[in-house]
Amino acid sequence: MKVLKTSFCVIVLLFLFVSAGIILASNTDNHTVTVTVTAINELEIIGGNITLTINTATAGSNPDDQTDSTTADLNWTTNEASKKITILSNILAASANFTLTAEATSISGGTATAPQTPTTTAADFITGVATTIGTCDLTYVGSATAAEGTGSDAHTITYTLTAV
Amino acid sequence: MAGRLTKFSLVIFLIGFSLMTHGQAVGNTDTHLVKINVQPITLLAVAGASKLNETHLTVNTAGIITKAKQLKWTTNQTGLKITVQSDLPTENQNYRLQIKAAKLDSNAESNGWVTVTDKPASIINDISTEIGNCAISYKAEKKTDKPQHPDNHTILYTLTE
Repeated sequence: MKVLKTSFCVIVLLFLFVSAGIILASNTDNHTVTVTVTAINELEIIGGNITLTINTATAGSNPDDQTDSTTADLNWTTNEASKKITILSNILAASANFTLTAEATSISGGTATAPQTPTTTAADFITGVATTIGTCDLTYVGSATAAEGTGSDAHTITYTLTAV
Repeated sequence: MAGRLTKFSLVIFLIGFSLMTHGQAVGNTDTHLVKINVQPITLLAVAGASKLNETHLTVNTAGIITKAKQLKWTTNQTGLKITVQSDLPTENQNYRLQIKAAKLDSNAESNGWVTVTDKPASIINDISTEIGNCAISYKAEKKTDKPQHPDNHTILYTLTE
């Protein structure tokens, strides 16, 4: 009878240790942590809208160009190779009253093309973009001749980070 | 339950719309507005003048002395003219001074010889959206009823409607 009680106690204690994970646990363990990096292509215009006001000239010469290179920047991040940034306008070249050019200045993370006159067809604006973070100033120049009169053009300018 | 779902959808839509209207970047493309605004420009200059559109001129028995020999202008407006006038009252002028816009580089027309008085008189008409220039020719003849004192003019040229 005494042996039976002792055995019963041992069984109960074993059950408690096992259920508490004390007996079977060792001093080390592991699990798998996976870092997955997917394609990232982000582009953003920092700053806001821009107005170029042409209202000066020298008598006998066409109106002075107006330049803005401080209002807006362009930032981008890509972890892919063979990328470029294109520019386009919502205004047909034939419909524009005046001349607008855009250029990437003070650039890092790519190579600026020559100043572009944005049209409804996307044109290369920055080339040589690959696995980088980059930035540039957006420099716009507005030009008008006396013969073109007065008025305004409102371009919605779109930049796109895309494959070469 | 359906009401709460509708409210939740509305909140999500408003947040999304707010982000879009505030120009937040959405992936690999972004846009902004670039506006060119060209305002009216009307400029005239007298080459050799002490001020932009004003010069001094003396008429005496030896002839006409002035440095103002050329006009230049820029305008993106239509229907303008260039006028000339003197600060010397017409009744005090001892010589009849005349001016002509010559060698006109413009789409406008010269009015030929124009007598200078203390009132504006047009020397070029129908100037529209152009850059232009011309030489200024002068001639003077003594008024028979006036003494031979020299006339000292401040000549004002104006590009106006």
